[in-house]
Amino acid sequence: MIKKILVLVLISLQVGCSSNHDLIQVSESDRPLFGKIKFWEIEQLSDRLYAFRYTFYRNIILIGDDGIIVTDPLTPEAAAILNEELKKISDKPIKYVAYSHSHWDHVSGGQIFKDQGASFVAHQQCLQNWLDNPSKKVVKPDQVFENEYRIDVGNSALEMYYFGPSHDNCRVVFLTQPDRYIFIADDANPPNGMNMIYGAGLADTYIFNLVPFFKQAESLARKNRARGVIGSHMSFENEPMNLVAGTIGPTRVIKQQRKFYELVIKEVQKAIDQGISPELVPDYLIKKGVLRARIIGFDEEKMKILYRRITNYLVTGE
Amino acid sequence: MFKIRFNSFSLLVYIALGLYFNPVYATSISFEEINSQVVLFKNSKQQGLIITGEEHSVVIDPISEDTSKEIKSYLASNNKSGVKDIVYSHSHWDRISGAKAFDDNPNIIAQSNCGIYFSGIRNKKVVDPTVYFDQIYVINTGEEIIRLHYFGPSHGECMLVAELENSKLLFIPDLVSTRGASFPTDPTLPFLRPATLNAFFDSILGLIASKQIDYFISGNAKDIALGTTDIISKQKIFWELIQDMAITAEEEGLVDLNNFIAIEKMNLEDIKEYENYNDRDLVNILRRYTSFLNMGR
Repeated sequence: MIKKILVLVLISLQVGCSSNHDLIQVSESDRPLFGKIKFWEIEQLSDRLYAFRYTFYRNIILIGDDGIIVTDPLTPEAAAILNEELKKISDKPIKYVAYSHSHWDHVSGGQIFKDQGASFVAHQQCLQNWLDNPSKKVVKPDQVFENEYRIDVGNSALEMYYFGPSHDNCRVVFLTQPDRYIFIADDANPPNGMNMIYGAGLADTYIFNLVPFFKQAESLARKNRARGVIGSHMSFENEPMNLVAGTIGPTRVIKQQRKFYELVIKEVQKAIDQGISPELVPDYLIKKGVLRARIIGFDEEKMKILYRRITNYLVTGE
Repeated sequence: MFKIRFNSFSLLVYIALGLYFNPVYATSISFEEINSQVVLFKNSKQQGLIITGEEHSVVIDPISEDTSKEIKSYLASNNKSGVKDIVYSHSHWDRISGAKAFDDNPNIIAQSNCGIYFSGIRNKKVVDPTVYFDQIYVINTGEEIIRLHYFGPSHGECMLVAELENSKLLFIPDLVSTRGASFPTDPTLPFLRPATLNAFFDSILGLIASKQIDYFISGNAKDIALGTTDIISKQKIFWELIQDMAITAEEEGLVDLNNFIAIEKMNLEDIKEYENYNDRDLVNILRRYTSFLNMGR
């Protein structure tokens, strides 16, 4: 019995350790963004892996013997700052820019890296999106792929996995090697995947594949014994406006994000099955207080929009 | 006493006969002849078309199994030919759940982008398409030529527009109302594709101009049967106005951290002219458009 308890304590200690991540702040802006949080900052996760936060957005940078991989340049202003800061960190050339998905608010500003000869990589559907609706600020990819792609820069690599449409129709999951961190743009932001989501209308979201997408991301994390997830956005703790950097967290955040969507879909389906008219589902669920205690930072106005969107999904399949 | 018994018996016979000839599902479906080939059918929410021909008939959007049973009865009782082609105007289940009732293996036609919503059976009531097309598909019933046009993502990924060439009619399942240019019924715009919406409207307007089409039919049962095609250009202007307002809101700093817009600080004169205007809907619509301006999608 004592042996069993000891094993349990050891396991729990190990789990606790795996969610502790050492972050070294490399540089930050003088300009404040929100409270003590600065307009931008660069953090080091390992000698090969960095995270760059600009306002509420974040990308990751991999530095290998053969060069640098930048992901999502964010905006021209952000990319210019990152470019300057990278010169202070490494003398390696920026060889690749990898896009996480097609949304302009993440992928604008790559020209400064293109001018240095960087090669751009994205999922093939992203290219179609940029052909359908081009932006002068978005550099089109030199290389597209269908299912998986790996960019190697010597002793560091970025793996890109496409698990079908989810948020946007071309979002990929990044896995850094050999550090084994996962990055899923716009979702699974630490510290908790059960946080109230920002875009409750789920614009440009393929709901039918959300849960399968996260299950595949969880499986990827498991198979690779991923050490954690890096958030693409700042997040909050407990209350909506208690902002935290949310740079890094445990991989369970991916599962929590799946649970978030599963729970909302389940509750809406339950209401429809009980005979609640689709038009009345959002008000019905809000009035009943459904998920109020489960979702962190529960926002009534946003939840009404989310319930309405999920109702539409369950009626139409889209 | 006898009289009462007789009346009760009559009532029972009447109910029994009524149930026999008018099954329960019959009560909610109605039919309206647009011309000798084109019939509009509707339930309380959706409507679709039957295009009859000497050789075969075509159904656009078999809403539900009950609807399809009614369509079959209607065709049989009016000596019309059987259904050989079923067209799915787009992938939404509430429009296409009735194909199972047609048991003579009809072609089920959809635009190829609908495919992602049919991969893996997610709704047992929906039969998978058997024919996919990319840009255009033509069906000839003998008396009518039906051209199915795909003009890019608009309402969802794969909504098509059906042109009934001889009748000079369009069937546009969503995004336009025959009653006039108006606010959308769902202001959260769950299926709208703003990035390609203008091109979609331009393509329809190009078709209307080249084929001199004066009328269209929508997929909404609450609409009147025919709308004049000038409504389509007015609806396009509505979306342009919304996009302009979203740009203004961004430029003037009226968008808060949660992407809600302070419309009370905006000039609402033009937008209030549209049918079904209300403040709350406008906030939601603009919210989607500011997202679009940021994301490009």
